[in-house]
Amino acid sequence: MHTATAATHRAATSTDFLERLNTDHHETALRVFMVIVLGHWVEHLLQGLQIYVLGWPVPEARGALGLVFPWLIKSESLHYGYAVVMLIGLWMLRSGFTGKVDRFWWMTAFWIQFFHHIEHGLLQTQAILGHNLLGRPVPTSLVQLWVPRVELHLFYNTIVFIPMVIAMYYHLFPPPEENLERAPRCSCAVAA
Amino acid sequence: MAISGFVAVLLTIVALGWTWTARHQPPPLRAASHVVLTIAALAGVFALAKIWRDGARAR
Repeated sequence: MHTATAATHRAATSTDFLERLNTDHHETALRVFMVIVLGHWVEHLLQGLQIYVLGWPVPEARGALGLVFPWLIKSESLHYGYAVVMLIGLWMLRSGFTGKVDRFWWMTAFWIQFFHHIEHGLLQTQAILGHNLLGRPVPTSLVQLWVPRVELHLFYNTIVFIPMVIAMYYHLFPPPEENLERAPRCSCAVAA
Repeated sequence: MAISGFVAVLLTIVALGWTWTARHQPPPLRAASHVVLTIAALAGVFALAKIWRDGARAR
């Protein structure tokens, strides 16, 4: 009886938390999420600059964090951890997107990130097992069998971020017909 | 505006990446890099077009 009550209480608390996150705190949560996403982008763009402009060798181009903590960037756990954080963030904040258009684009970003996360999961598994895909010298994801890692992840991050940005645009500036169908439950929309 | 700025940075990096990969990667890898970099650039342009067009319609 007590166990059932505690479990019910935990479930209710978690529902409560998600409900508040997608209503009163949606704007703040999206801002925090965006800071994390943009921080990650800065690292990838810096890495691009280091390779493409400064001519650094690819293994030496580790963004900003990697200059201070080289082991951190070399670790697959960091990359996998970020992929999971992205996936959780996209999932947890989804119900705040109450319009048809903003929800469509947000969930598009989620499903692309889901695949991206599987790719990082493969890399993480190889790092843990110490055996790389098809005997490659470094952990290698499926698409990485054809596409070099730096360009591939620039691509992955772009195709996740672009639908996110479109979703946020329509969330901030909902088309008039959206407002009539389902009223937003958060304070994110910018008044016209 | 922020989105346009981001896409401009993205397109710059993609252009630089295109040039660098053309010079430094062997043909099969270069072709694959060019495919993904092109899709990334197109995605950026698509976002800009969509947002600017719908923004103009709303105004």
